[in-house]
Amino acid sequence: MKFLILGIIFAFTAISGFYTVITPNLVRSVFGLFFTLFGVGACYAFLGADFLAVVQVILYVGGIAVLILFAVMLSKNPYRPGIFGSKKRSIFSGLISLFIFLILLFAISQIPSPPVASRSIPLTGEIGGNFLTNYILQFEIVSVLLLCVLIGGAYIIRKEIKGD
Amino acid sequence: MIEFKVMLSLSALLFSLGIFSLLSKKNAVSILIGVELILNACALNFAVFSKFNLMKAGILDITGYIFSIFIIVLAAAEAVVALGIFIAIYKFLKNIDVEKADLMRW
Repeated sequence: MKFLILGIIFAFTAISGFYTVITPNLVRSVFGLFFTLFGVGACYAFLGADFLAVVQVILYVGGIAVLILFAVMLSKNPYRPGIFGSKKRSIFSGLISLFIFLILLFAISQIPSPPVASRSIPLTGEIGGNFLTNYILQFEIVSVLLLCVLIGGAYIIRKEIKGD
Repeated sequence: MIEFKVMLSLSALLFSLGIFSLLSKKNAVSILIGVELILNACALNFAVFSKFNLMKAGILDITGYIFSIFIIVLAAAEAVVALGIFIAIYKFLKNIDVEKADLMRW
């Protein structure tokens, strides 16, 4: 049963990832990304990381994928040039990424497998406590960064007013 | 523990798909999608190594989960700024072909 679920998650994520990368239509590519992100969220749920799965679905699937979709659909025909470069470049980059994938697979096969998985506990309280004690500096830096991103994003996309 | 290696292989697959997207596309939004795939693979890797503790077997180490959350937050911030820059380029040049955006290159 466990292996069946694992195989389904793997196949779903891998197929939608391939579709994201290979399709020549930008909107279809964004929808493929949508399903890939759902698959990664399912991986988190499979690993027992409940809070992480919820964050993935809310922030990535509900936030970033919809944001990219908005940016694509609000701009007038942004995919006019087509999304692939020259054919030679596609072949070369396919070879390079295949090479990287094989290297990573070799490295993974060299890792000693751990004997047991750690038990799953409800993570939300644990993560919240760690954010406010052990990782308080990183938490504050990220919050300041988010403020900077808000201001910077509004500054970049603003409308220019002539003669001001 | 087959799921350890399967999850790591899935992460490696997503990473190399992202590299392919990054190298072969010329539309800026597609390149952003590749970057998102790479960041997702990285966060999944952190979560896997947090679940399967290689140092002390069977004991949950929460650091990987926390760094996955940081990666997700940073990816959101990065997507907002990148899309803002793309819209600004689109207003200025009327397309988002990365091969045509070469005004700062001499």
